[in-house]
Amino acid sequence: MDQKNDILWRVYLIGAAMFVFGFAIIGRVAYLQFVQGDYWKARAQELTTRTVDIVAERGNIFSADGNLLATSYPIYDLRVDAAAKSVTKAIFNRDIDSLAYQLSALFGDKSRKQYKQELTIARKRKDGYYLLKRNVTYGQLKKVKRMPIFRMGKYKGGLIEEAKSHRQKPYDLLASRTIGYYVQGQKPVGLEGFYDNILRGKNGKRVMRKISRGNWKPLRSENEIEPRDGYDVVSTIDINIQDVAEAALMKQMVLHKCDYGTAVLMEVATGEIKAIANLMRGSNRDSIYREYENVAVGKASDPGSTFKLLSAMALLEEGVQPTDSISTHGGKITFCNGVPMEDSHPGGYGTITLQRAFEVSSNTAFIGFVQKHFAKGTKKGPEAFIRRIYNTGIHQPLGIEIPGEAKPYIKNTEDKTWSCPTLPMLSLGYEMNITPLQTLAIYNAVANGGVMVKPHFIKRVLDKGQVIKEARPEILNKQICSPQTIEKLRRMMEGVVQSKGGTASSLKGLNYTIAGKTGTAVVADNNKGYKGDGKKIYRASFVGYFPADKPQYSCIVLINNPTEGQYYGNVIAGPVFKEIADKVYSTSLELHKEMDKDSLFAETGLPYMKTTFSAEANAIATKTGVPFKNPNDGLVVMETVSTKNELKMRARVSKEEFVPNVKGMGMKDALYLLENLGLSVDAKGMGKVNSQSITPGTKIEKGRKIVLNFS
Amino acid sequence: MRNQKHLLEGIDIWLVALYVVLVLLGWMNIYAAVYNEEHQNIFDITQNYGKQMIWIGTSFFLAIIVMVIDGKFYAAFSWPIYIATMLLLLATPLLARDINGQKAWIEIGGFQIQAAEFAKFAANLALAKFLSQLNIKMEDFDTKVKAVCVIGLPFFLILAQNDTGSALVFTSFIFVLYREGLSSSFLLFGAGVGVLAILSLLFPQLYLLVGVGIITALMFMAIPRNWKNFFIVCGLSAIMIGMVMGVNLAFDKLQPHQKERIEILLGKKTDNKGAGYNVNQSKIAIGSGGFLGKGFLQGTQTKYDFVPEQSTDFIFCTVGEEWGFVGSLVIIILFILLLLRVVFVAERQRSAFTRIYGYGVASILLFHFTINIGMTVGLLPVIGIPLPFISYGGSSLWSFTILLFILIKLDAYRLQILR
Repeated sequence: MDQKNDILWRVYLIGAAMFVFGFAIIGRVAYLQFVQGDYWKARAQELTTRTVDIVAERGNIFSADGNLLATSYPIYDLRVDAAAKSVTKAIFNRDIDSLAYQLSALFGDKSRKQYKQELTIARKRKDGYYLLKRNVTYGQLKKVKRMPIFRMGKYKGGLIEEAKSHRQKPYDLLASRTIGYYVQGQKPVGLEGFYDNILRGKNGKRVMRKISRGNWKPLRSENEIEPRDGYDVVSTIDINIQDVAEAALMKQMVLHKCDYGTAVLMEVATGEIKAIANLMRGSNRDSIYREYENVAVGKASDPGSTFKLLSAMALLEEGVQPTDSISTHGGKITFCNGVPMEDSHPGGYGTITLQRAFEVSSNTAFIGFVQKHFAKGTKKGPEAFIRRIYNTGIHQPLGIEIPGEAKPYIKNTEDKTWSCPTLPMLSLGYEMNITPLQTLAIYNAVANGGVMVKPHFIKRVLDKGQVIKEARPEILNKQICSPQTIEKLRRMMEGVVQSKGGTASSLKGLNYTIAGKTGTAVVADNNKGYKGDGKKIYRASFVGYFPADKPQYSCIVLINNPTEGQYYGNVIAGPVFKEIADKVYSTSLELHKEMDKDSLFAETGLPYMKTTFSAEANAIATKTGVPFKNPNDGLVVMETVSTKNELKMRARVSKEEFVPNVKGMGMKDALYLLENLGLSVDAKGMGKVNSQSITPGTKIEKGRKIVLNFS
Repeated sequence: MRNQKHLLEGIDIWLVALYVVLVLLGWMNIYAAVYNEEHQNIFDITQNYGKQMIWIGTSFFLAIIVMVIDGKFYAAFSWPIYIATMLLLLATPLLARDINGQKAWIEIGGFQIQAAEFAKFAANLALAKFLSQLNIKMEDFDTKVKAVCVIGLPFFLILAQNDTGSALVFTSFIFVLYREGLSSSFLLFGAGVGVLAILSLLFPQLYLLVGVGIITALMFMAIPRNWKNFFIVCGLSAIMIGMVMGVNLAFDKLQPHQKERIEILLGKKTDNKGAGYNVNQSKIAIGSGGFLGKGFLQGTQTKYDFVPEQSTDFIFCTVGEEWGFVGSLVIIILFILLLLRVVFVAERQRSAFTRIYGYGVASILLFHFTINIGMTVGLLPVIGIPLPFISYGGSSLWSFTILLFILIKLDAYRLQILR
């Protein structure tokens, strides 16, 4: 090959290489932009826009009386873009000291020096996301925003606020376990847990576009998907009763140094839970009790004597009469070849009726009755007893709204561990597991004429105040046993309180009557067993309803392991029951006998009314239904005179410069009137004005003292 | 011989025009890439676009100095310039601060100078000087060794600074050697080695060894059978087997980030958040540009700083995103025109020195252009070298300006010698 051609070849080859490389790149660019263009455009779109959730406001939980039990409010995490360009070195150096000082003063968690040091380090590191403080309230945030550097503005000052929602229970401990909580990934607890899907609402969506490094703004003014705030839930819990229940339970538990306890109040007809208190000692065994567990709902155990209600029910249903009697064998028997059982009353009760056996809670009598009618080999057999019990439905969970209901278990003849002593032990409330709430449901059913309603915790669901769902009582069992038996059972429970020597006679003599049953279960201390070296522990309870003649509320109080010597149901649980019942009775007008207006007035004549302003007098008279006649209106002080048929009102004329006649007025009105006229009032006594130290009609000297005697 | 009448006499207007256009386009794209709403003025010297303006101004000044200096100077002082630069390279690791694991930047009075940039034209001058000697023939083994030494010295010195990208630039001088008579088989051998290396990384060793066996067998059948051919074929096969076995071993010796970049390029690994982040973001920027682009300052990838190093190594993203296919085509065509013009200028020289130097310029520019844009579009592995005249940075702009303007000066000087 000739040399010139060779060189030409080489030059062309090098030129060609340039074209090849150039075209390879052009081809690649075209490939990226045209063939894969849509893909890359979508990726670019993803990077500069993003969909963010707009968190829906979680609904509130209200008590039945309208108080907030749980609500949400925003709290903030504060971060600082320490690399913000607009905070120049000069600005930073000038303001850092006062900023650190103010932060330290506001939060008090770190010294001024610490704040300064940390912010300076963050700035040196150009930390764009330095965590300044977590869980700051809105009020604090507002103050921080006014601090030096940060007050330069949202982007310039570098303050980044991240809103979070904080759930608050305004009543703190009160019913806290029943109100519960919902935390993602944790076992739901209480109403918050169960009604989470209702309370939570639905998050909305909003498309955000990146406007500069690290800053995003909504793409459109309206949201892509509007958030729907959570619904409010009105609970059945009455905060006043709840307060009493918890306080009474707490007092008793502290007094007797108990492990845990519960008190539940339920409305008989509807099954609404008015109060539910659960207290438990902390693991460090100090005397600080909190709601660690929902004992009423989640702790199933041997109920003890309160189960005798169902044993009696089974006996009555099988034709036994309350008047049928049996010997208590001196308070000490053995059964099933040597199993001993004693009555709590030494020496027993002689030969007693079933009614009496229930009232005094005689173990020997109940074993006697049950063995006589249901023991293996009798005509009915233990299966009949079990069938009667199961017919009530107590062996099944109530299916309440609150998660974590323990499953009841009442041993039956199918059970492998069923043996001769099982039936007598069942009749006394052992060899079974039921929760306090399940026990209460049965007592409530008896109070409710045999209709077993499901306990529930929610009255209604509200959407911005509009009722969208109203809870209705749910019937679990239309008739747990025959109406005749129900009547007999109620007499027995009344006897427990009313009869002489009844186990709960300490609850006698109130304005209203209580019916119920005590229970003092002897249980094993954990796994040690109550026979070996394990310590015997007691579980005191009282279940019942009131008023006995017209049951409105049922209630259970159960307290585990009182350790101060006393352990009987009436002593430990009875006072709590009484305190709750007293509170309910005193605040529930419907429990009081209806006032007969006409007869009331006929006896006493028309009521006297204090001298007061016209409008107020009208309102009072209208509200109380007292017939009246008032020709005046407005800010005129009225003197009232009662006649036989109506209240006559007469204007009391006074002129501004003279001391008025305030005789017959209440303190509020008299003070208002006189102090407005410039007199200094010295009030003595209570009631209505009896005499005044300055005669009416005297010219007023401002600041002069006037003495009012009230009687 | 006569003196140049004035500075512009004999100057190649094409090269100067292409240079100016590229530099100004670069400035504009840097403005878009580092655009800061609070400093909208392109002349604001607190921002990189303002600084680039200073670099451009000083580059023009340097270009004038290069033009003012006598044409004989460059040939005469090739070796001293080369030696001085090599000494600077040698001293760099001792003087330099560690930036991103590289010790390549010397700080002089607030400015950072990258000696490796200046080594390019220094080596080019030295190579031109060496090969343009009358008694030098490319065919001689001695010549090849010495030429490789001239190129190899800066290569290894820069490699020692951990600046692999800049070091690899020196491999582009193979085009110069080829133009000056290096046998095609070297080029073919080089290409073959490259292809085999890529295949070795892509496919299991066993397949490749079987492939080598088949090729060996085919060669035996195709060529006349004699002892010489037998040894050649055996030697080639041995080399191929060595390559196949060796590449993976050598690959393991690479630094982790280099390995990852290669694996991602070969599609053996995807890591759009880690090592593949740059390229993925770069592809998003370019791919979303479309035909006409998103418009000046409208590129979302560009504006929101998704692409790291966007004003320097990844400046082509800005072009692709904001100016689309049309803008990319313009830049690429401008570069091809520049390269062809450089080759054309080189070929019209009677002086071997100028011709060889011209080819060196073309080789260096071609390498930078291909590798830089190739990596932004995901064709080639990420090797951190700038796009000539376009990328932000004083050292690179200065050195490319000097590199190009020495050629322009030498080209203009040509007329003085001959008339």
